[in-house]
Amino acid sequence: MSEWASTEVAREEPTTAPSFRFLFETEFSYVWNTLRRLGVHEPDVLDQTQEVFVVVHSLLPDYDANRPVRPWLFGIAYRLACRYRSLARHRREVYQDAPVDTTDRAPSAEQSLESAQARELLMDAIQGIELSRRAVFILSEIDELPMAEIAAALQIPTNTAYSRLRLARDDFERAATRLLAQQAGPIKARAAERVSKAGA
Amino acid sequence: MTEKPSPTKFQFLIEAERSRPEAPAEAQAQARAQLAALLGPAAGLGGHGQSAAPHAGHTASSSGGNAAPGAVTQLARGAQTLTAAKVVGVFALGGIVAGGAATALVRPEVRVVYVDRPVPAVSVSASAPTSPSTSTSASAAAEIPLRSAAPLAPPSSGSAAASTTASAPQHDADLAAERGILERARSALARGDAAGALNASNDHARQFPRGQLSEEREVLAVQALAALGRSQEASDRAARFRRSFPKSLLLPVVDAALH
Repeated sequence: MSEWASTEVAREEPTTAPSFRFLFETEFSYVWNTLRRLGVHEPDVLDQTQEVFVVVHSLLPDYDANRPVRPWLFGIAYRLACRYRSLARHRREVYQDAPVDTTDRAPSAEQSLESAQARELLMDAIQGIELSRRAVFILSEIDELPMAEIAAALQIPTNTAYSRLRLARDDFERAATRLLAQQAGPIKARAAERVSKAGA
Repeated sequence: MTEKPSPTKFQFLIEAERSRPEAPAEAQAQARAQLAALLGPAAGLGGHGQSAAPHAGHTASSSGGNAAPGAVTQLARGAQTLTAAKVVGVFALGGIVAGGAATALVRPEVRVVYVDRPVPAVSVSASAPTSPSTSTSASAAAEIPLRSAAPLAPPSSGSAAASTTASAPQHDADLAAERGILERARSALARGDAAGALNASNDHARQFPRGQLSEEREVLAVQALAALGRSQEASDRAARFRRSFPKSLLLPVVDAALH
């Protein structure tokens, strides 16, 4: 939430549009990671990220600098991801990340291994969520945007956004439960602990 | 219905994902170089290394922002004066129908594809695993995501995944070839050589009459014809396009070309 807390303050100043270069340098990773979450396969992410920035470049003159930039970028990435996925050979839902090596790790690496495993597992879990729901899920849960902003970014009514989030949550929890059951390594023990803590 | 559901019990997964590492620096460098070449100096990406200036109201997600704010403002102006319409027209094919930021946003909602659309079955010779992608060639050979195969492919499900993987190498090779031809058309159009663009699109039509990128070819042909002032042919071809691809995302591009 902290990243967006500054938005209101920023609105009070006359805002100039960010330059293309600025967006490219600062938001490249955001676009990159967003595309992966939206199901773009690893070997295609670079290409798709470039595509996003080509579109960003052409749409930048129309960008309302008073709006937060990430929902706008997300909207573009989302549309491209829709197109990407509609191509038959990209339809596989399996998320392909570099496998996380669970062996031969020093205990000090355990923490980062756990995070990496957690990310991989989350990525697997969200790939099963239908895309329009997943978009809301990502914006709400991972990007931590307020629902009004999400609804605006995706151009859907707020109620629709809420109901998609709810459905996405259900899908996500089912998938995460199933995937966690198959896990090995440090994440499994931690997961059991944390899930029970969260449920309490 | 308007209440945000309580946090999921898998919050720790979400937190891990929020701290996902940044994109690899070499990937960004590669993208920077390609975009600089593609978009020209107005994009402000050329030759300045990694730096970016902090900008009020926009929080940099990366920690790597440090440079001259004045230069950036100047670059912003440059980027904006670039003829957006032209860029959109030419690159819409490469990405998306940019003309209607608002409308296009809604359209995928409706068009999100749940139905598997397998590629047309292509027989794979066992000796031809000329799998084209390595990490360096990935961006050069990576295909533009296009769904033009869809109207030609019979809708079916079930074995979709299997057939997709099986025919992938051949499919990729064809797609790369198609893309190469259309890339010629696109760059010809971009530098104002409409005749060259039309020739390239005719080449594509000859070699891949029912190609995976025929939708894009037709758009380029319409654009080329319009640019050549052959407006009757352009609008005839556009009409045919509308019949063949009534739901095309590229329809606004075709319409724009006619005006």
